[in-house]
Amino acid sequence: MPKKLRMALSYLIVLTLFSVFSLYTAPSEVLAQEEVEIKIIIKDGKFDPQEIKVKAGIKIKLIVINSDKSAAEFESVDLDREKVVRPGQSITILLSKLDPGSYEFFDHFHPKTPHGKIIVE
Amino acid sequence: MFGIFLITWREALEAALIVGILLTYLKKIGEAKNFRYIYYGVILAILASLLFAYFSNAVSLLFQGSREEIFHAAILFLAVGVLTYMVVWMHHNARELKGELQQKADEALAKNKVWALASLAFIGVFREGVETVLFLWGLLLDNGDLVSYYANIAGGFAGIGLAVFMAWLFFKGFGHIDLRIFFRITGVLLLFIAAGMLSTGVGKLIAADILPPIIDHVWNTSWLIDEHKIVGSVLSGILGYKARPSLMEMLSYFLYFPAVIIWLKSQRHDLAQ
Repeated sequence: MPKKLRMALSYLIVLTLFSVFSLYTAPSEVLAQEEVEIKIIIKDGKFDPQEIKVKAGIKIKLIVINSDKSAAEFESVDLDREKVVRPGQSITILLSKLDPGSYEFFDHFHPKTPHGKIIVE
Repeated sequence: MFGIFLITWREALEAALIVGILLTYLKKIGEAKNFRYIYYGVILAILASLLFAYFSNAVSLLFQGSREEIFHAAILFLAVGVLTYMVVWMHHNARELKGELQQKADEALAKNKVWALASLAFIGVFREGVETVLFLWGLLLDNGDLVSYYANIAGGFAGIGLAVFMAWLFFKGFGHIDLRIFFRITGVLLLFIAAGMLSTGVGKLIAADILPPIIDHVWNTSWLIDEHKIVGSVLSGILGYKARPSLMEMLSYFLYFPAVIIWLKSQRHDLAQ
């Protein structure tokens, strides 16, 4: 086997081991966390509730329901998430290990409507 | 409206660069008559994106939980695979073409190779198309005030138009230089685009809670270059810039380059033997 190919192979093996290792470490951490489900409803261009308070370190399952007749895009620069919510449908956003602080979110399709925030304390 | 313009411009620019490289390659080896196969790939990809958007309401019902993120990650990884293959193929061709350009041009381009080029064009455009069309579709569903509605759609199409025009200018300017140098420049460009896609895909898997971020934000350069503004948007589209990357995204981005280089080198070694 050529030396370069061996190098490439060993490189790939290291990468694979690394990903397997990360996959193995991930679930155990998740199990140790508490999980909370929060629903946000978009109605008449507003988020309800507009402000959410959660404890730090908790895993959050955010369900965004769009009850308006136009599509919305749930976007948060702070949380690094963006997802389109079709009229009458809902989306799920998973958030884990949030540090204490304030995280703003808004509707990217209607950026002028009131922004909401998640406060982690 | 400007936000929409920025999004469609960025997505279309990547697609236009990929198509431009394929067209320039064919032109350089004297196979301009096979342009139509590339166009078939492009047209088919646009139709496929539109079809996807048309059924997207039904599709999105299937995308419960994190399936949407997983689907996007899968398309991104497929595109990374295709782009990497394209770079390796360009590299190989640029070496082969040394001095024997004319002779090669005299032989007809094998049909299966033409179809390979067409499918490259298809995947390049489909990946950007799905993203763009889904976004525009979301706006079309909107029944807000009509002025902003049309302004948004106009912005979206202006973005695509400008991207195609810019790519055309790029290839008009760079299309005349030596094929090997051309392949080197565009090859490097494609590697950056692919590395950006890889880390975006990894980011989607982090959002789906499949991969751990390891460290949430290694740094924060949003005060310097904000990826939601014009300069940051270009950098993010072409170089895969992210203002607040997680360690996992960073690793995938920076490990991609040595991985491809080692692959290229090992191939060169095999050819020499």
